[in-house]
Amino acid sequence: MNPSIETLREEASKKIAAASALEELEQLRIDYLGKKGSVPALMQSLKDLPNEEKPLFGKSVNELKGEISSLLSDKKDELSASVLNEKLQDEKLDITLPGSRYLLGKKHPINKVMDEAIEIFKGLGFSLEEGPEIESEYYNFEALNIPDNHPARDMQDTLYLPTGSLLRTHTSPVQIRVMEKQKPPFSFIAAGKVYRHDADVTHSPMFHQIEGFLVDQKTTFADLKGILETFLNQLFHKKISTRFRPSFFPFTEPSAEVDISCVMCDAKGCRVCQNTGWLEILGCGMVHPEVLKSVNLDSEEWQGFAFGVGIERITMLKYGIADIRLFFENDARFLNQF
Amino acid sequence: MKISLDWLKEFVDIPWSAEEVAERLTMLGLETESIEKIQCTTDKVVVGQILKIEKHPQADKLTVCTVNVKSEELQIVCGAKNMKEGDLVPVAMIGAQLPNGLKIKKGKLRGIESFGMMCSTSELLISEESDGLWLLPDTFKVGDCVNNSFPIEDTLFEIGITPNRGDCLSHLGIAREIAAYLEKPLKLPSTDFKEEKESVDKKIKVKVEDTDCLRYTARVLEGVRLEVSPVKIQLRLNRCGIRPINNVVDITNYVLLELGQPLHAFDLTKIKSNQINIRSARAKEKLQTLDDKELTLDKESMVIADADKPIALAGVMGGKESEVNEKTTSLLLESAYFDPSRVRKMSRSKALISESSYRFERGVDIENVAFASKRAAKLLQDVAQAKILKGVVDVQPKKWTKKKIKLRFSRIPKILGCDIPEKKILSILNGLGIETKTKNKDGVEVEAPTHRHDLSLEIDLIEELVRFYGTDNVPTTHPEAEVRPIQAKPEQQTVARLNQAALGMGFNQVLNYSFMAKKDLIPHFIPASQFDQNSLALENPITEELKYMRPRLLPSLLRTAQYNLARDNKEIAIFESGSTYHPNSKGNGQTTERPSFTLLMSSKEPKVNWKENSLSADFYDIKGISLSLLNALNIFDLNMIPLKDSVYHPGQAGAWVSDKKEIAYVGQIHPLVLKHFSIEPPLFAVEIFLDLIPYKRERLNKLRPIPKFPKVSRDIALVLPNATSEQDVRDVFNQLKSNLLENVSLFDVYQGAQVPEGMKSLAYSLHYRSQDDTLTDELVEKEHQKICQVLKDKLGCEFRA
Repeated sequence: MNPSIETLREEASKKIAAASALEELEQLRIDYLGKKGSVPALMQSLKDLPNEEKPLFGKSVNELKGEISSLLSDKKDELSASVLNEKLQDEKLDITLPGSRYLLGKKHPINKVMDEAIEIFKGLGFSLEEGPEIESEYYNFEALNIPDNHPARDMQDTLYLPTGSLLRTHTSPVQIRVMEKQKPPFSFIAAGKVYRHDADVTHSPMFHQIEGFLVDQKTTFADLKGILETFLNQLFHKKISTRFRPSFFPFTEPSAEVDISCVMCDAKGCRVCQNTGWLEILGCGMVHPEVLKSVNLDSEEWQGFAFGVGIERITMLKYGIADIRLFFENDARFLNQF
Repeated sequence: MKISLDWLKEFVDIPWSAEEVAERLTMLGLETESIEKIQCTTDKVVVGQILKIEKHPQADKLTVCTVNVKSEELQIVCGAKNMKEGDLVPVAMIGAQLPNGLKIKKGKLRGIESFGMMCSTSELLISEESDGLWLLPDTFKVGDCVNNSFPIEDTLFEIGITPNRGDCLSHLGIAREIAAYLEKPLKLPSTDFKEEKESVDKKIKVKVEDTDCLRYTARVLEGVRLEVSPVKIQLRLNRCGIRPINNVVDITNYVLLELGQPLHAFDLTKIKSNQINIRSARAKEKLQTLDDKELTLDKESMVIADADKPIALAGVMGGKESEVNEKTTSLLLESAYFDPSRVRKMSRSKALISESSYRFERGVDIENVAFASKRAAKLLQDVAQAKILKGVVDVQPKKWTKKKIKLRFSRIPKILGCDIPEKKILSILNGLGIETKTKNKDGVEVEAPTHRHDLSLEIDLIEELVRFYGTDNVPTTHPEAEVRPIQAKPEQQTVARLNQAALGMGFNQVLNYSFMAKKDLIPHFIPASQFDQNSLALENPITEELKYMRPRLLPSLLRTAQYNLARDNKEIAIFESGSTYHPNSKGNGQTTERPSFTLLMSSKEPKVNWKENSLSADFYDIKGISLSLLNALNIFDLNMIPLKDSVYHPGQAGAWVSDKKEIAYVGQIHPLVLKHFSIEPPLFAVEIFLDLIPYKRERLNKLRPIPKFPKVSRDIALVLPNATSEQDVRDVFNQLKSNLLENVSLFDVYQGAQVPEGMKSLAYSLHYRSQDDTLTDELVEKEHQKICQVLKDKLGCEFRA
């Protein structure tokens, strides 16, 4: 082994290993491998050697050249990586600052609960129907077995428009409108705004209802209990106890108001349920023969149930909202919580 | 209505606690809304006699009394003024707890010791108000517990009676339900009294001319002593919410609460010619009512008249002139049945609602009419020493026929989904007084009792059965599924897509009332001169602020913006979907509802925060948003034209036109409109009129192939007069027939030093591509020059380097 080659190899590998910057490394490349560098200089000395030594020496110098370039290249990768690392370190951000833009808006809680209810009923096979908010006495009352001059009219304080039209007091007129246009069997819900002459902490002159309606040749009161229990369990995401309290609606019979076990206190008794453990949540019943008669359906052949749910009431219970007026003030600090 | 448990127990033996009564009634459909327990340490409230009344040495308003309660003599300091020595009073002794919660302790008032309290009626919850001590009649014995004479303690239920159950508007009615449930007998109150020899026919003639009077009974009582009612009657009336007046009026009210039959007592001497006519009023007849209103009557009014004139509005209210007063000694006691809907009509048209009209319009029991009259006569004899003339005038022009109803047993499981044993069916019907007339294996035929106006159909009986069988005993099942396709309606999908797109862009959904104030509509949304024909007003609004149905969503959203800005919620980024309401232009009273969508944005873009707080939105942002919203509805063929609407900034608003219809408005809100709502400009809005938008499904275009060859782009800058719109330029590009020009994109708009005054520069990138080949420079250059020439020819523009 040629001593000068060995010396150079050792020196080069030390210096390359010690290099700390890319510029320094470039200088070492020039020093060793550049045109006037040490390795080409060694190659120059080849011509002065005896012929028999030339092949071996030449091979050794070439090997040395190879080794140095590979050391240089490895070192270059190493130094580049650390330079990039430093640069990335400099770019470090406070990732805890808030993200900006591209945030979703908030659905109004009433629409949120209404959409949820609609989805549940879709899954149970109910389609969605609509009807006008400005209604006639006929659809809002008479066809629903609420004759003029009947005390049942007092159950719903009505807002009137000129020439006898009115703002619908419930979504039930949609029952009549759908039955007039389509053929039985029916299974639909109707959702939307309804109006009453009423305004306080728990009553709003405008509120939202979902009406459910199922008429075929065999649906029973027991089925009504089943559908409503399924709906309530899904809506409140837990097992809800119900009681069907006999009541009166002119357009259903038998009629019932449905109470659920208080969701605020798990029926232990609290202010919201007035210590009864029960919350009144919706009205329902079997469609009254008079209602079927008003659309020329024979109640011997067709039967089924109807129910009406107040969305504000359910939303208030779901989110612990005490004042119904909050829904219509649209304060951003309210809306942003949903 | 208020129901006393103590009173109920006179009709039926009730083995339940107050809570159980409430629970049972509620589950029978008689919703018990509250329970009020009146409790008192009754052994410590005794009758005392005031022996001595002395002035309090330290206080002018107090006295020091010595009171004998038999076991001892008590010194009691008192603030009342109405007593004198010798009076009997209720005394609450030390340790007593009164119904109003007061606990009696030994006390010192201004230095004088006091050993108990003398009570007023209100302190014992006998009346709501009182002035001074309750001076007891001399039938009370010193030292006795006050409770021995009448029950201080009771439980009151507030029961919500549904409009179909007029029969439950009395203690008898509620007791009947309980008795039926318990299968126990109902005990009716006593009607025993002594009659005079003289017959009632001699004293009064009754003629029923109006057929809406189905029964009229009259009884005559003489020698009546008008005075204060006995304590028990006062107590019950007070606790059930009726103010005691005198023994005669109180007894009619007492029987009303007891049996549900409204009664009226006339002063017999005021009835001209002792003649009662029940007839329709003659036009313009007048009646001064008990509550001092002068009514002008009409043919719709049914009146009780004497030989001359009306003396009462039938079933609604008596007249002032024939009212009993302190001089009254002879009475005509009326007990009648008037047609429910006739009474309701009168009560509504005269705006008079009374305890009587409330019951008559729900239907009273025609068979109970005579019984109630007897019961009142008995009480008047007991309490007011009335001499009762023999017999009663009882006119019933038409016989009442009880309704017959068939009940098929097979219908019960068909409707309810479960069987009820036949034995149970029969016992429920029997318990309710529903009489079975015939019976076979398939069912029964029954007769509805006269107090149940709500029973006429088979389904009414099934309701009774489930009420008493218990809804809890009906199983919970699911309807047998039938697979039916459910397809959301196009309109529903339109609204859902818009809402979703707006939420996705960071806007919050709001909900406003459908009605609003006139002041927010005039003059910008409806000009004052056209307000009446173009607005839709409620006849009976909650307030003036909520009187007009909104013709546009925008004014509501501006109010919402103002509400939030006033509360320092600075970022306005909201939208609402809902109907707008319009009178028909023909003025025929018809109305239309239009589905609508409106979005409102302040210049601070939604959800921008610390990082970009200097960014502010402008017209082009709202235009972009509106385009995205319309695209979400699959509407792509859109043109914008200038919008003339005084709500918007005249130079920064446009209407989107699709299929020749202006389907949406976009722009900056006019500063004067904002000023009305106290909002600082700018604010931007999009209004989309959904009724003008045809529902479009997603476009089902065939896929265009992804280009195989590279594109070549050339940039040009056109110098144009300011008046030339970008649309003019785009129109030229759109009309070009070039196979190579793939598309054009605007990348800069410039006005300033580099272009002449009054001119602007629009810079475009033109992208060329061939579907078959890689383009050569030569080919592109040739096409590009051709296009530049067309632009120059059509727009007269210069090109900037």
